[in-house]
This record gives sequence, structure tokens and C-alpha cells, in this order.
Amino acid sequence: MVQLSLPKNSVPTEGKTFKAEGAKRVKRFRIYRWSPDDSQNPRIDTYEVDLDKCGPMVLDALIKIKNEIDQTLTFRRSCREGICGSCAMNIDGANTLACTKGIDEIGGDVKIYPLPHMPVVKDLVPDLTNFYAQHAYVQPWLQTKGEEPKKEWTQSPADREKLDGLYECILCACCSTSCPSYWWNGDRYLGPAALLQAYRWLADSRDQQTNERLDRLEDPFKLYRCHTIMNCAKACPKGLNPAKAIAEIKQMMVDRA
Amino acid sequence: MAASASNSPVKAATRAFSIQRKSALALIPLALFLIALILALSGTDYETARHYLGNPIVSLLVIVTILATVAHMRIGMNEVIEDYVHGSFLHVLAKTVNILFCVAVGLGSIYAALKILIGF
Repeated sequence: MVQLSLPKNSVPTEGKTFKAEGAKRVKRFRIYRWSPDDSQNPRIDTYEVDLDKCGPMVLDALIKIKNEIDQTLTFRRSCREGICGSCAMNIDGANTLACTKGIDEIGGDVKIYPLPHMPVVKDLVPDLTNFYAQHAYVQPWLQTKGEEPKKEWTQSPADREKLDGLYECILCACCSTSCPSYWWNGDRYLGPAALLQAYRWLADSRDQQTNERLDRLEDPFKLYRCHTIMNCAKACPKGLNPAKAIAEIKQMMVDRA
Repeated sequence: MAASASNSPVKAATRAFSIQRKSALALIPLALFLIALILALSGTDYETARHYLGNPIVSLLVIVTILATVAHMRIGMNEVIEDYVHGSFLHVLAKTVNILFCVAVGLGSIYAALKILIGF
């Protein structure tokens, strides 16, 4: 059966508090900490950050904490402008990108956890191995059967427009890890991100493997675990709607039946 | 779309999805019919109720309602089992019990409706 409570060794304990001495505008960041190098339970450390000496985004605060307060804090980050998807984490109860989430959007303490229901590598770094394998499963590249054209595979502007709202996905995993169906069956259900990518190629007028792509999704678990809960659309930091893409795939399945 | 998929066989998962959606749509008017029927028959005596339920059109609609409800119920509960009941033995057991329960409810209800209609 589905496990609805945390195992004993995963229940977070209260950790250390790092005070910001002499600061006037203080914001408290309560951050999930766990290391594979000891056998301790996860803990919640509290960091006080002087907002007068910190950038506006949550990622700015995390980098400040790592640089100036606690170098052991571990998290992924790269572009700092919502393009790479590396800094996806659970902030104030919702999955989002730390680089595009303003500190001033959060009232009270800023609670930061890794993406939910994923194995944790360390602190705020989830193990995305399965997530990437699911992305690979949908074969996210152009597949054609006919003879290659002398120049490029062309596409009308109208057909190109069909990919809007799909190609922008940055694979941050905010959507999949906010989906209850993915929490319960993440090993078999492909999840919103992989399915949005699947539809991105199903909707591409140049791709000629539509039938084979649908065959790969025809399964009670891979596609049909989506119950249109819509957490994915709510969580997506790029404003995309994976649930709609999944509904379009289901429609294609019914149409070809 | 480049490739046509019209010749593909109907697969079980898509068939279940399709039946679930179609039965849901069918149950909107059928449920309204059932509510209207219950309201119309409330307060009437046994013979009057049996007379109305023995009308062929009413009986047919009742049987269609039973079939749509049972089909929808089986698929809906199956979805819940797929979602939450893991482990092969419990999973198979739960799905089997679900099918048996739905078949029993469906057959029993249709038998009752036919008995009133035909009077055997």
C-alpha cells in the first residue's frame, strides 16, 4: 500500500540556528539538511539573513548563506535567471525555482525543502536519475521515415505555433514532483514533464513516428495515471500546462482507437 | 500530423479511459432520469411503483443506467486500486474483488429490473 507517513529515519529534527548579529532587516530561512555521510535524521537548520546585504531572490539568499554563513549547505544552481532549471526546490510549500522566487513574496520564515518525494542526494539536491530516464523514454528528438531533405525539415508558421507552450519546458521537475500520481507511482507513471515532452514531439508536424510514440505510451501507468489534478500547471515556473498536453495525448489515443 | 494511427488496435488502457468518459457523460442524463423516477414514485404504493417500473421504456432506461453505473464504478475503483494498492498479491486480489462485486451488483440489479418487466 502507499505509505502516507515518513519513515522514522526520515522525520526531520530541529537543527542549528545561525544568528545575524547587528542586522536590522532580518529574514529567517529554515532549510532542510541531510547528509549521506552520517546516519543522522534530516534536520531543519535556521539561518538569519540580513536583507540589506542580500539580493532579492531566494537563490541570492542561499548563495549568501553558502558563501558567508555555512559552506556545507548543498544545492544546485547555474543560470540564476530561470532558464536552466537547476535550482528547483520546494519553497514556502510549493515547487519553484529559487532564482525566480522573490524573498518578498514570502510572509514569515522562508521554508526550503528539496523537491518532494524524490530520493535526496544531499540537502536540497534530489536524485533525478529516474526523472531523466523517463524523459529519455519518450525519445525527445525528431524522428522521420522519409528521405532527408537537402536543406532542413521545414514547417509552416501555423504548425510551429502548435509547439508554443511545449518547447519552453526546462526540465526542472517542479511539475512531476508536485504530482500526487507521480508520488505514488513515480516508477511507472512517466509524470507531467516527460509527457509534456512526449506531446511536444507528437504535436510536431515534421515528426513521422506518431503511431510508434503513442504505442510507447499505451499503458495503464505510463500515461493514464494522470487524473487532471493540475498541480503540475500550478507549479510550473515557466507557466506551462502539462495537464493540457497529457489530455491532448489521451485525445490522440482515443482518436486512433 | 505526419503519421496516421487509424489502423491501430484498441488497447485496454485507452478502452478503459474511453468507456469511463463515455459512461460519465451518459450518466448525466441517466442520473437525472433516475432522480426524477425516484421522486415520481415516492409516496406511491407497491403496485403503482411496480406498474411504472414495468413500463418497457422505463425498464430499458433503468437497465442502461445500471450498465453505465456498473461500468463506471468498476473502472473508477480500478483506478483507485492502480493508484494506491501496490504489491502484486494485494493488487490482483483487489482488482478481482472489484470485478466480482461489480458483476454481482450489475447482474442482481438487471435481474430485478427484468423480473419486474417480464414478471417471471
